[in-house]
Amino acid sequence: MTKKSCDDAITKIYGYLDGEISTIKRMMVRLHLRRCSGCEDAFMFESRLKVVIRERCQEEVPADVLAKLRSIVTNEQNQ
Amino acid sequence: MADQATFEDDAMQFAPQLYSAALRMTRNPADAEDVVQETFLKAYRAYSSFESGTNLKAWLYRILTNTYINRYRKQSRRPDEVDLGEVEDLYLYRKISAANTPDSLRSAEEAVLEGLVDDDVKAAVEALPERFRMPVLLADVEGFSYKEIAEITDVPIGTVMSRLHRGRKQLQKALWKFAEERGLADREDA
Repeated sequence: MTKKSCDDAITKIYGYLDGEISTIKRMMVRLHLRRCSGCEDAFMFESRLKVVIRERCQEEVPADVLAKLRSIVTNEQNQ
Repeated sequence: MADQATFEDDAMQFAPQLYSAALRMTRNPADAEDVVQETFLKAYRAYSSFESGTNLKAWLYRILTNTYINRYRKQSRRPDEVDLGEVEDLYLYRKISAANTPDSLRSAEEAVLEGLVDDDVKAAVEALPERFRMPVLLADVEGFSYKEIAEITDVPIGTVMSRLHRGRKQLQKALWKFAEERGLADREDA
């Protein structure tokens, strides 16, 4: 693939993965990815990295914190 | 208009996410707890002004973000906003590529994505300066759209996009450091 078409695709990578570019641009990116395994690999990696970031940043809320949140609401309701 | 009587049923489902986000913002459990409690109190009191059927999650995050900023504004204005310098696009991917041959690339990508543990990712997010941490957190962890992030953080959408872009590159740089320390990317001999 030409450097320019790869650069074009890469500049759209986050807009594409975030679902923030137009349908036409999405189609153009897909077309490029079908022809360019280098860019396809990069897109796959970024897409999986996004999932990794989300999954590994989750926390359990401690039970006592949850209980306090409920009691805030109850106290307010009783006032 | 929303009914205060349904607040608990409506809002409680977001408590785990709000708490996780508060932890990434404040970087410690005690402060996170305070911020989430204050958020719930404010949200409950203002609930009659919330328009039912609109985006409750975004509304709660806006209160959370404002609460955090108001409480910690002094800290956030400290000059931790150092110049990050330029980081290239796809930093992590390019570093892994550079450390490998085409034959070992796939297994190295896999090793990095699998091998970065929760603590690495949390530390990398928390190490971002606040103005980059917020959009990265809201987009990548919470899944908000650029427009929603602009509304939650009260920052123009163009600024959200550029901060998100720079924040992600910085995050990847931090993740690469962890990957390197753990020897995850070097699959040449694997």
